[in-house]
Amino acid sequence: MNIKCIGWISSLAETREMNIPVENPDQLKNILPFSIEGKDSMIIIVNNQPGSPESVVSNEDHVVLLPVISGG
Amino acid sequence: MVIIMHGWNGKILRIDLNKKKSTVQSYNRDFALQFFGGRGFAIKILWDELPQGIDPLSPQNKLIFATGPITGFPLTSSGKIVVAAKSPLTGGYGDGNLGTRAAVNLRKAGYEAIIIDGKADVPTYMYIEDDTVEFHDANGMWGQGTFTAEDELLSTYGKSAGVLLIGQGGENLVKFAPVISQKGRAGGRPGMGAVMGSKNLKAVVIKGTQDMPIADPQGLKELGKEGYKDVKSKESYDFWMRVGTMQALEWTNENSCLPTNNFSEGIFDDADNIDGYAMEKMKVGQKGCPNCNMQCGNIILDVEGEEAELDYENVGLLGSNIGLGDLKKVGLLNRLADDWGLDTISAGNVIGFVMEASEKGLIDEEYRWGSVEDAQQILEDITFKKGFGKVMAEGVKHLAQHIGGGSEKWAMHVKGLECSAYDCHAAPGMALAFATCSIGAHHKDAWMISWEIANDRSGYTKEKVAQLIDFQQLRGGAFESLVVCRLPWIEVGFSLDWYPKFLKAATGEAITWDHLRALGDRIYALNRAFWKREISDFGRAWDMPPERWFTEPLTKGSFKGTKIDRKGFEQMLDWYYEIRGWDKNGIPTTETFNKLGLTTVAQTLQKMN
Repeated sequence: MNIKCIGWISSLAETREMNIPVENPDQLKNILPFSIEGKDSMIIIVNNQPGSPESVVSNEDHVVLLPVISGG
Repeated sequence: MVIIMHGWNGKILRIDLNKKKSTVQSYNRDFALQFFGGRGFAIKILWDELPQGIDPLSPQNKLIFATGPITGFPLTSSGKIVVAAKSPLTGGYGDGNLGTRAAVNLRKAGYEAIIIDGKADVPTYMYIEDDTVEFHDANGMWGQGTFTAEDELLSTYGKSAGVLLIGQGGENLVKFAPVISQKGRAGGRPGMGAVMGSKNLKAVVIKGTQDMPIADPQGLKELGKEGYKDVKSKESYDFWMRVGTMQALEWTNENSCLPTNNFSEGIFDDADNIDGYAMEKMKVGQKGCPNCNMQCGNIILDVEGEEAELDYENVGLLGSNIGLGDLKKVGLLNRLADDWGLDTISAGNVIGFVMEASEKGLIDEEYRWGSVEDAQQILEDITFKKGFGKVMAEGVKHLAQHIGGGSEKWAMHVKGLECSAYDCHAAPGMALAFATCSIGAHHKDAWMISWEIANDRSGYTKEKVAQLIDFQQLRGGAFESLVVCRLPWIEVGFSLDWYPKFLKAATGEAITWDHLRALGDRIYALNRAFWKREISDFGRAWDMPPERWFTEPLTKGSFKGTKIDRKGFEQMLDWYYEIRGWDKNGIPTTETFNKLGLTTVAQTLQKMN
């Protein structure tokens, strides 16, 4: 599973992009190597659709973790 | 007589440039609570005092600088000021805000606002220090860029003074010239700098030395400290301090909404070269507004080795939107726009538009995508109104009318104001935000796109419309009238609960968010009335985003093939009017005006009809 970390979430993840093998579909929060629960200012996108820490993901999925921002 | 004792000074400084005289006007608590400050004061004053149908560049227009009841106090991001007038770019209401020492100094001089009327007989600058107002000859300064002129004024009046000024763009009446301060802080996109230039007013220098009235000085001091501490404690704070608003470039590119080649695409192939990480490698400094501990101005050395202050909007419009993927070259264009006094967002739109027009053979001039030399020449021609620059200086709406050839479809504006840096092919809610913004296609009233991407990217729903109105109440209404910056709230999660506490300590008034939301609705309704009064055919057709987003789908990325569904958009606009209590043509109903305490406004519009 490919995961992109945008903005400050790259600091949380300590990387801008990671690939994690997912053998069995599971909730996103159980797969990521860092906690994403309770973070109101984080947007979760799974395959271009709104997601959540509870979204069930599999190896082929593309996840983007974004901050809430408001431009310049 | 000053009636308001705390928070508000209760005074407005009136300037008559025809006579070079000033007077002080007091206002009462009711006025303060109903319109608050900033945008609220500005729209009320312009509605009440501006003769209908005046030429925005005539002496009859009024240029207003307005702060709010917590401006200048040591509270997070409270160092901003609104500048407003009837817009020469759109013909309707125009304003913008900028962070500047002038905001703090104006409050310390004893005023919330300045209203500037008339026209000076020769180039003039004003110096305001408390009760003293001086008018000085600015002939020697006329023709200077904002950087040099501000340096000269600060050498005369001291570095603590606040300066609001225009560059050659404002002097030459470029329709999208803003007011500038502190070498890069800009406000008043819809030509507030041109209004200032039309009055022969080069600069306003302000120094305030007085204490401001505070209901609970100790409480305010403690709240201020706690607020700053809270901002710094947020998880996203450190990253924000590294890249600021420039993080939005990677964000928008990832989401297919980075304006590219005149908003024809939402993905830019060279985005990595101009994003926040690229900027971070070049960063040589950082600056911000007074009273702010999350400075958003990131400074790099541009291609000529000069300092340029970047933020997302500048880079989105002067970079990807014109096909330019070299940040140091973007920095050069940005610096020139700041120095000459041009709005970077509109300038980037105009450059992108004429590059596309050139590519399509609709104009004789040759402008190449991604050419910094061509872009620099365009900026110069606009600023000094050379040749085709005279037409380009009018903005993209006028440009499209001038060159024809179907270019109206890709003239990226709403109501004549060029779009901020968000491509909306795949963001219909953001398109509605642009369409209904109170000054034209500007992002600050409601940055819907974060909500839309997080919750419902493709839907045309009533929930989305209700959310947009909620943002407009908060941002376009309350924040613009308080006058505080949105960035602590949105970018690092500074709670909205702080603001009623700030207001209580400053004013002694128990002001709730319900009160502030009603303020937002009042401002929006009065704003619509102003547009209607000034533009006879104003209505629904003026609330439409650019045709390109409806008819030319994206050709790249995961949203390839996406465009706005017209029927869905029209439905959202219907809901927008319905929720707001406006009629099907977008004009508030009499009942809505009455409910918001604007009965006389409704009566005026009825008489016009």
